[in-house]
Amino acid sequence: MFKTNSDSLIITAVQGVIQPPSSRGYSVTWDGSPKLSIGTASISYSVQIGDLAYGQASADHIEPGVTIQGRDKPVPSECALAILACIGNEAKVVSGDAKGAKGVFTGRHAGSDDMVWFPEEVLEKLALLDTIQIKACGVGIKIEGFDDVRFNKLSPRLLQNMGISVEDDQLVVPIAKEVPGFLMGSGIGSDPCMETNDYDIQTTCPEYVDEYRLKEVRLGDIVAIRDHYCGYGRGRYEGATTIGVVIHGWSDSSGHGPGVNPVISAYPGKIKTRLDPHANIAYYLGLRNKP
Amino acid sequence: MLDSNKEDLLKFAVQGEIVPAIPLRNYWVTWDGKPKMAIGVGGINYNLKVGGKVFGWANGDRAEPGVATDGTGPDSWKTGYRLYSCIGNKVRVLSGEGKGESGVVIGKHGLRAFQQRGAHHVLVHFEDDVLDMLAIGDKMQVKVCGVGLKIDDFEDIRLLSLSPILLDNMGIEVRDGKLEVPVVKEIPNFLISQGAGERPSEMGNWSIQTCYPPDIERFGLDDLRFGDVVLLKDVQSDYGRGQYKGGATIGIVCCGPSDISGKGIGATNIISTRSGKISGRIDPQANIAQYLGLTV
Repeated sequence: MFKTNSDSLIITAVQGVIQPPSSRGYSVTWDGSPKLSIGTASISYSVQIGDLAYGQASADHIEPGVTIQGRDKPVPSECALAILACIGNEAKVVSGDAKGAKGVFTGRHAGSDDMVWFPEEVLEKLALLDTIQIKACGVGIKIEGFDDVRFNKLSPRLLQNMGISVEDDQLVVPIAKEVPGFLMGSGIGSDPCMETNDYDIQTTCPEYVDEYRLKEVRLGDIVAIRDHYCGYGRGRYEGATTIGVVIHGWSDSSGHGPGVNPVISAYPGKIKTRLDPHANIAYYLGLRNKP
Repeated sequence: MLDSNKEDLLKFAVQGEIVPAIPLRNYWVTWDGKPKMAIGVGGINYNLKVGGKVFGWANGDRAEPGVATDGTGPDSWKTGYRLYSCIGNKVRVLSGEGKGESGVVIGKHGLRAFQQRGAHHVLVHFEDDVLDMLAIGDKMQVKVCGVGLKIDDFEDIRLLSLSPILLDNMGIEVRDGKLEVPVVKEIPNFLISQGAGERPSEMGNWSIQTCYPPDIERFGLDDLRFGDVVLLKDVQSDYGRGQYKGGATIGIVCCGPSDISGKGIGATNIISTRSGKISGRIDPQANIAQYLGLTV
């Protein structure tokens, strides 16, 4: 298989609190209609990693599970949580009625929000503003012999469980869906700091939605973005492949859609993909049973 | 000349000032992982002018032509300045050595319209003799005119940050039920990147990616000049920006190329359609300097 440098990774604590939701009233959709959006921040009781990213009433950018934000800097995306936590890291509730309960870090939504999965019985005990601590581990992770492949926001646990194999000096990654680079919207070109940003698969052109069957995308899906290199930033590079994890749901705002945290990226000739409808972190991290 | 509702438009004043350059102390990181001390965003750029080439400036990254300004006062006043200023609007200098002199709005460059952080620049052209009188912090007043502008019989075409004087002088013709717009270049959608997801479309710009070097020669991006009129294919900018098959956006080149992933040459959107009612007619002279009578 492959060997990683996981023994040399630093494990460090980062923290956030469960963020209450807020609203600015109506937003305007891609076709000029008002919409009262719901779904960001808070505790999501009904939508979890593994569910469809599309179809929930009035939802926009829905964040599965529990949304937390760092408090160590005035801007959440500059906090340690935003930069160091990796998908698959262990989370622990450190205050409130659910104190001691364990969960899993599932991704970061660029504006402000970091997301954590907890079992249903824990969700019932959690309250807004409870404090969650993550054992951050994954910064600097590499696969031996693939020094020119960029890994980002990927815990050793997820990397080991993604079903990756090596074939002809290339990594073969199981993916649930393939997306052309031009469909990537909000978040593209922003801060080169890969660790703090997602970018969106645009779902605001009905013709493209049908053509690429975007209503099938699930939260937690592993997707391949074609012709994009995300080593330091997010942008076009013909022939390059970026592997990402879908971390939030659909949107009706022009240029937005399900968000993706890039986790593996390489120039042409380093990554191959294999379609697998169950390529989803819900299964890789034991958050739900594979059907 | 097209018939429009220009006689019905409100004219009013918004106020701003010349804002400083905003270098990054810790370097930008380029698409291929190299540190870069970037220059060109903000301040007074003496030698970058509308009509001049966008490529070839040492360490330039999204470099802006002319004078960068932003609104003054509380956030809501700043938003008014950024939102309402239209390309072609007249600007009067209110303070400093250049008091009483006038300039013209030539573009808007900025991102994250809903955040106060980062650059939100209204770019202003001044003639060289005035440029030398100006100082960072000088107050400016824009006589805003263009919000609500519509072309008769093209109700579904969105006009954004576009003054009637520029609309009248752009050489647009109606052909086969479409607006035919003289443009220097047509840009394919897969090059069009940052700006997607940003709203309202009256603020900020689209970016034409320059982070994959072969694209620059392949699509002749190094021919572009500040102020060029370009057609962005298969994207719309009606109420926020996004990819849209069959849509089109007309943009004005407002900043130079970038070495940062997903960034590139900026285009301020001025005309948008989802219904395919815009087509381009290639004209290498399609530049706002000519349309607005600016010295280049």
